[in-house]
Order: sequence, then structure tokens, then C-alpha cells
Amino acid sequence: MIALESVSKVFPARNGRPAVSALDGVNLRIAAGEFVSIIGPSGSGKSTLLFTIGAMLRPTAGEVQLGETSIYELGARQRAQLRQRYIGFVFQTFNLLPYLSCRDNVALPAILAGVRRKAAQEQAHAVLGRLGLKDRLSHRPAELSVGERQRVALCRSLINRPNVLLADEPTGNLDQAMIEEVMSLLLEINAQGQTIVLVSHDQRLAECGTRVIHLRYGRIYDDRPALSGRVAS
Amino acid sequence: MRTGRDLVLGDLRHRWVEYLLGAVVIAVVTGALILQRSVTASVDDRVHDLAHKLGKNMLVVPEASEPSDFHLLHYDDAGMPDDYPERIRRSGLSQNIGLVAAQLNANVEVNGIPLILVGEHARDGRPPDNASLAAEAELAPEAARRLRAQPGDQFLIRETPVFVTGVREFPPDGLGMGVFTSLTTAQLIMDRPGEINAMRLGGCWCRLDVPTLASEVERLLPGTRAITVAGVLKAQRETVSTMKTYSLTLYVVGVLLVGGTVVALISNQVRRSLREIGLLLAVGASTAAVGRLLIGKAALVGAAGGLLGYLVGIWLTIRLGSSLLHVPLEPPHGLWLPVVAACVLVSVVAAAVPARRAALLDPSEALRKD
Repeated sequence: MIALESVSKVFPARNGRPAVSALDGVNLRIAAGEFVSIIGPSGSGKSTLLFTIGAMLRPTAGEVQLGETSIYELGARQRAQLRQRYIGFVFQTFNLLPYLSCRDNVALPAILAGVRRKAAQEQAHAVLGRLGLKDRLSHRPAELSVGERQRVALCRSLINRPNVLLADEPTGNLDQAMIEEVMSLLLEINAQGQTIVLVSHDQRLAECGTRVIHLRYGRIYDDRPALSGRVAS
Repeated sequence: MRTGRDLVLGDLRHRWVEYLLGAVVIAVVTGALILQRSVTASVDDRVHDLAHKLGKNMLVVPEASEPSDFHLLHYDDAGMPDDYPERIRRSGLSQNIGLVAAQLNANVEVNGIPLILVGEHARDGRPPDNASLAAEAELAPEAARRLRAQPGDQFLIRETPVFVTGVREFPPDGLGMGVFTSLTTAQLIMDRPGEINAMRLGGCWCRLDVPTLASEVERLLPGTRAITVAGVLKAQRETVSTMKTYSLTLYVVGVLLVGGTVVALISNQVRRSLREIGLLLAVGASTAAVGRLLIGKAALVGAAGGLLGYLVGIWLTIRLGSSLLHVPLEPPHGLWLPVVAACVLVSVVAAAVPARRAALLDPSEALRKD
């Protein structure tokens, strides 16, 4: 479903800093329903790979395909539509809009995808309810606990029922109890057939998925099944 | 799209202090430009009024008077003997001067309301013979309205009782706050016996060199200045032309200030909300939609600033016009729509560049900003 062919990304030299090769000839295929964990040290290219897969960062060379579509051959508007419909993002810092309620934060991608406001809010209501946030609909992000914020961010990434969920260190700011809660949610989502690509520093979390990819210096150093023994749904 | 409205209004509420500051800067600039426009328009109008009033006449005023103050209905203590009209009638100049009308004009206040006392030689009002007998006067309509006075009423000017005999329906231009009485009464009220401070001369001067006639009048009446329409127009045209040149410069500076404020405001907002912009792009907002959001905010700030500036401008025109310039300036009523539209237009144009830059941000980089 996701295919990367000889993908390289070089960030050009800027402000006296030398050019950085973040990805170097990456070849990767991720099948539908897989839960792929990408691990590696800081600066190994994990987030760059995630944003490249997410149609947000054009590679310097190579091709990225989502299904049959070569995503960087699309125009900016079509790539935006592709992100709306097929890709969900979860970030370490949640990136919730501080002035919108939880419900409106979650409904935002649906409205951007053309769903009517009321219908989008109903969908948001349902997703938030599924993740135990029914009583937080009208709260602002600042009024929530850290774990709740990440759950809201997760709801936002799920509202358009994307085929692929890209998670960049989603547990980085959470305590142990919250980490387990978020991971169990991700596993539940994956069990329903959604493809998940998780970037993490934590080897233990990475092993919860179906496959572990180890990046070093922008290259795939290791690509193996996860120790959990789970297989793609 | 209501989401766009929610995002714009939400952010405006969230960072209201910065946006309010931006709107206030726009309002101050707009208000100053409106005041400047009112002053220029007022001076221009008054030049036209004066030229219209003078026609082929001549205005004789005390040499010590500042003619521009005189035109602006701001009268000082300078005066001329009230036998000057008679002196003209008895001189050889009377062959060419058929009309001689003397006046004593003064600025007075009644219950804090500024009025213009006009003592006219042509009228034959009776001065009070004693404290119980009031002087008679007619009021201009605006003066009657502000004083809430009707014929038969009586009020005090400088402790002199004045009896209202009527309301003069069509007062001379610019004298909407006029109190018209006899020259003798005005002299008595102002405690300036035997004095006048304006004399209008008229006649058929088609075959005369008017500047020469003005010189002869000044020679005959020592300490006076004879103002002709040609002289006034020449002097005032230069003044108005200079003011209009400055106006253009001020408008350009104003537009640059408003534009600069909006550019700084939006650029600052973009810098501070990189993650939000990155997020919007990540969840599928198009670059055009992100640009529209920022331009929408700029338009709202521009509209608010413009509207506020219009109100500030009206207030400044009324307050500063009357207190600093001693002139009742006409505020630009009905100009709010062009003012707001101009502010919105300048704001939108100014915001276009930072908005475009923001829309073209690399979302992956924006999302990773600290």
C-alpha cells in the first residue's frame, strides 16, 4: 500500500550550517493493516521518513506511492486532499488549537474535507465518546490533562477514518499509565484494519507492533517482525 | 466556511491584545488623517465662502488683526474708530463706494455655548437705557437651538440682558451661531464704545483698478487693511495648495503606516503560530485556505481599526477643531464606509505577502518548531 523507492532527502546548507542528508536511498513497502514501528537514534531520519510518507515533505530523490498514486507528482492542493482523506497524524506535542474546544479540534479535519459542520461535530462527538472523552467536548485543550490532550489529538487523526495513521513519538510526553493507554488505543485501531506507522525512541513500545524498522544515518539498518509476534490484521 | 470564521475569530480572541494594538495603531493613523482632511476641507470651504461673500466687495479690517483668524470667525481685540464709515462717505472715494457696512464682531459664551456676536451698523437696535431694559437681538437657528431660546426669551451676554426678538432663518454663511444686534448694543456688551472691527465696502468697480482703490482706502483710514477678493484668493490658494500637497504626503505616510502595522502584525502572528499553521496544512488545509485565514484576520483588524479611526477622527475634529483651532470644523459624516473600505483594502494588500509566505511554509518544519 505504501511504497518508497530509493527515497533520499537532503536539507540544504542554511545559515552557515552544512547540508544534512536525512534519508539516503530508502526502499520500503508497508502493506495495508501493518503496524510498523520506526526506531533509531536522534537525527537518524525517523521523523523525516514519517513526514515524507505523509505527503508533507517532498524528497530530494526517489518516489513515494500511496496505493497507485505517486504522491509527489500531485499538486499542492491534491496532496492536501490526500492528507485529508487517507492520512492521519499524531504528534508528540499534540498540536491542538488552543482556542477551539475539543469537539471543534477533532471536527476540524472533517470540515476541511468538506463534511458539513454539524455532521462533523456529531462525528467528533462519537469519536471522543469512543475514547472516553464524552464529558470533555466543550473543554479547551488547556483545561485537559496531558493524557487527555493526546487522546483528543488521536481522535482528530481518526475522524476522517484514514487508511494510514502516522504517529510521531505520540507517547513522548506521557507518563507510564498514559503510554499504556495510548498504545492500547493504537493497537485497537490497528486491529480494525488501519495501517499505523509509529516513530518511537522506545524499543519496548516499538515491539508492540507487527514490524520494526531500525534507521541509522538515513538508511534502513534493520527491518524485522516485532517481538510481539503480532501479524498484520 | 464557518470553520474559517471560527479559526479567525478564535485566534483573534486568543491573541486579542496584539490584534487590538494593531487596530489601535490603524485607528490613530486613520483618525489623524480624518482630522487633517477635515481641516483642509474646512479651510478650502472657508476660502470659497469668503470669496463668495466678498464678491466684488472689499473688507476693511484693523491692521493688527490676523486676516486668517478673521476668516475663521476668531476675533481679537483689535479695532478701528466707528467714524471710519463716515470718513469714507465724506471723501472722494464715495463716488466709487456705494455701500459702507460697519460691524463689531466678537466671540462670546452663554452658558458655556460659544456664540458670535455680530453688531451691525445697518440695524437700529436700542441700547439699554438702564438695567431693567434689555438690548434686542436676533439669533441664528443653530444658536437658538443650542440655547433653547425662542422669541421673547431673555439671556445674559457678559452680564448684559439680551431680549430675543426673533430667529433669523437664513443667517450669513458660517454664522449659524450668530447673535445679531445693533452696533451700539454690541459696543456696549463688549465694552468697546466707538469701535468697529470690520467694514464691508461695495460698489461698481468694473472700470477701476481694485488694488489701487484698496491702497487709497488704507491711506484714508490709518491702521486698516483693505482685503479684496483677488488678494484673499491668491493668498489662500497658495495655502490650500500647500496643504493639499502635504495631504498627499500624509496619505502616503498613513497608508505606509497602516500597511507596515499589518505586515508586522501578521508576520509576528505567523512566527508565533508556526505549529498551528503546520497543523492546518497537515490535516489537509490547502495553502490558499491558510492564506485566506491570515488575510481574513488582517481584514478584520483593518476594519476594526478603520471604524475606530473614523470615530476617533470625528472626535478629534469636533474637539481639536473647536478648542485648538478655535474653529467649528465640520466632521466628515457619512465617510465611514470609504474609510473602513480603504483600511480593509490596505490591510488585505499588506497581509498578502506574509500570508503567502506562511501558506508556503514547509509543514514538517513548522510542526517541529519549538
